[in-house]
Amino acid sequence: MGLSNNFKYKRWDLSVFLRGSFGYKLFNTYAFYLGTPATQENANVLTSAYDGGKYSKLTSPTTYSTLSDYFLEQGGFLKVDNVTLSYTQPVQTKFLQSVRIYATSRNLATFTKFTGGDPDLINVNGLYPGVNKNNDNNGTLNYYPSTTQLLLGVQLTF
Amino acid sequence: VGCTNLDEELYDRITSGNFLQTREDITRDFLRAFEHSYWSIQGGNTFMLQENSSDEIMTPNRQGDWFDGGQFQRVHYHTWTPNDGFTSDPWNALYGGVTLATNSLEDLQGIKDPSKFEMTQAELDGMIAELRTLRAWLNLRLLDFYRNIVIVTKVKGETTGGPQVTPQEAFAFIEQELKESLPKLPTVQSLGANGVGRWTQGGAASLLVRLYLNAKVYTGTDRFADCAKLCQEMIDGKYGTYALESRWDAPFDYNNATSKETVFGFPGSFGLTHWQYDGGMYFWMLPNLAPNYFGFTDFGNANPKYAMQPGLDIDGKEYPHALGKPFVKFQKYADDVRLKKYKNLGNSKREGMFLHGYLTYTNAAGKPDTVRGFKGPYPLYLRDQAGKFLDAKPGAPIADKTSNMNNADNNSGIFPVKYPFYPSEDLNKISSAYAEIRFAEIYYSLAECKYRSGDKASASALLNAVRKRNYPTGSASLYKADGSQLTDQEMIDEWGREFLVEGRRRTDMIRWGVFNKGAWWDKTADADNHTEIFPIGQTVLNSSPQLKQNPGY
Repeated sequence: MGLSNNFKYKRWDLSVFLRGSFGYKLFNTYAFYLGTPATQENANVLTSAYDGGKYSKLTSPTTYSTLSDYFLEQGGFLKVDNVTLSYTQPVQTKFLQSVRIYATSRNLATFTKFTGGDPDLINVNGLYPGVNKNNDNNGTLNYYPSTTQLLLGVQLTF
Repeated sequence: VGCTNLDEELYDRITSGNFLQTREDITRDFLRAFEHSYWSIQGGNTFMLQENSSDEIMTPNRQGDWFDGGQFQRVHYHTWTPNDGFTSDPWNALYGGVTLATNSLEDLQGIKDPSKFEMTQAELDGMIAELRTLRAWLNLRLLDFYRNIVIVTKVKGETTGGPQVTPQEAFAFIEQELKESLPKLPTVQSLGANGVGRWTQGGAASLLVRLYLNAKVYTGTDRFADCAKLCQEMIDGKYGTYALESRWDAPFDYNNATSKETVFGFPGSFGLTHWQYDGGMYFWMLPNLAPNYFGFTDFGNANPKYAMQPGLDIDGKEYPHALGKPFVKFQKYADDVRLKKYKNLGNSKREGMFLHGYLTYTNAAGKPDTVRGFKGPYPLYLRDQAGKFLDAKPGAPIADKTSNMNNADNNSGIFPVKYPFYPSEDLNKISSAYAEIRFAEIYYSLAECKYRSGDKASASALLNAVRKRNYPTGSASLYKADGSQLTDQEMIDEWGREFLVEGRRRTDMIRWGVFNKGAWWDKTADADNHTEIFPIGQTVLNSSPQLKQNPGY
């Protein structure tokens, strides 16, 4: 679901694009492997193992890495996907009509209840929907954080 | 008129249609499934599941090593789920063999004129019979693991598998395959010195013995009488000449390929395959640095994946449960020569079957040294206990009294060494065949049938025939002639002593009704007996909509 908003005030332009996806669940592989107290000895764990939350209650090593819907979380999110603010200055010269200065930000913010990183990066179709997978279709801890980009630009109109 | 026949005659490639050109091609085709089958003695977690789910072997969490996502704890506690990869692995490993054998069978059965390959019809029939017997061995193990299995008799051109059949149908199929093949198989005498690795009449009869011995478990109908009859015929030499070795370690020694006790073995060698010496089995049934103690450095460091379950608690007190405690069971007969510490004596000789206590050796600098672990600089003292002993001296009390699958260290558990690890310079190192079927098994199977029919005296005589090599002449450790010492528990224990780490403990415990009801170290009785068979792994189930999950899962 996407929502485009364009605002104009004098020579200022603002466009905000919101994108979201709702009503489905994701499997939290990070909590599954690293987020409970019953992990490998001497291994680093996520704070969720000891924060009193639902993952900190899984203390039995016998059930460690046993697949369970306990690790399903709401995967819905709302993302401020694209924000562009620009200022256009008309100029009266022989070669130039206007100068536009703009700043664009992509992936500025994500609002979600999912605790396993950016839910937008996890596929929700295919054979194993909602699980972060590697190329062999196995659940994986691999995590490539989504980046926030900031672009500054000058646009000259001749 | 366009051309409609697009079939082409291939001159520059080999297809399944023209692969068989010479006798050597037939041999290659014939052997393919054997290679895979040798691997399958440990591959696909088959060995691990047979041993670790029983009261014999453990893979505990050793200070963070071998925790492995808790999977070995779920095997120990019988709490596995279809999402545990090891529930798919035996299916894939064994059906891989069934498929290869069936493919080769179809090739061989398709040969109309064996003389084209300088081969007689009888030779060809013998090869077909051997492949069917090999496939029966694989199917028997599938039946034992999963019970509700698919019978595969055709693979060429097939794109889907078939439905599962009832255990009774699978049993009947295996029985029929073996009975039909048996008369066409060679005998151990007809093959002579090159018989190892070949299925003979004795091999097929032994598989029938396994099938009948466990028939009650597989189908609900007991066939102990048929089992006893076959065992007796084997002992009488009807299916080939076999004999028990007089030394306990001879069935596992470098020259066991020609042993009269080896009914079926996979030939092993240092340079080629030696799967029993692989990580899935005995090379990972050792302390990491045990190779220093052996003087065998060709394979690098070993690994303590498998060790014997403890018989004593942290304070050295024997556990009260009747099952398990494998080392204590050996110690019950104190003059057992196998109890000695394993030691290489030079010239391809060894003594003892266990690594226990300190393992001292001379290190590379020529100094006396002791095998250590990777978790601290202290020497390891291997003991019949599991816990965090670290550098505590033998017998010294420790504060942490917890002894369970999640709390062990590198001192924990005694390591059995059945197949020898001769030093690197020994020309006979890593040369043993894997003795999949030993003649001793026929004696034990018959003894069990006799015991069950109330004939304890005969059972005692049969067991002693094998056992006498474990004790000095005239030892009081041999069973009394009237068999009065034999009880269910003693029979279970004796199976464990003779066949320790030979990949059959789970099957034996199920047959004796103690796999689910029994309790042993860090293991209470199961709520029901659905774990007597494994679930069909989720990845296997996903591969075919025809497959139905086993009951209880």
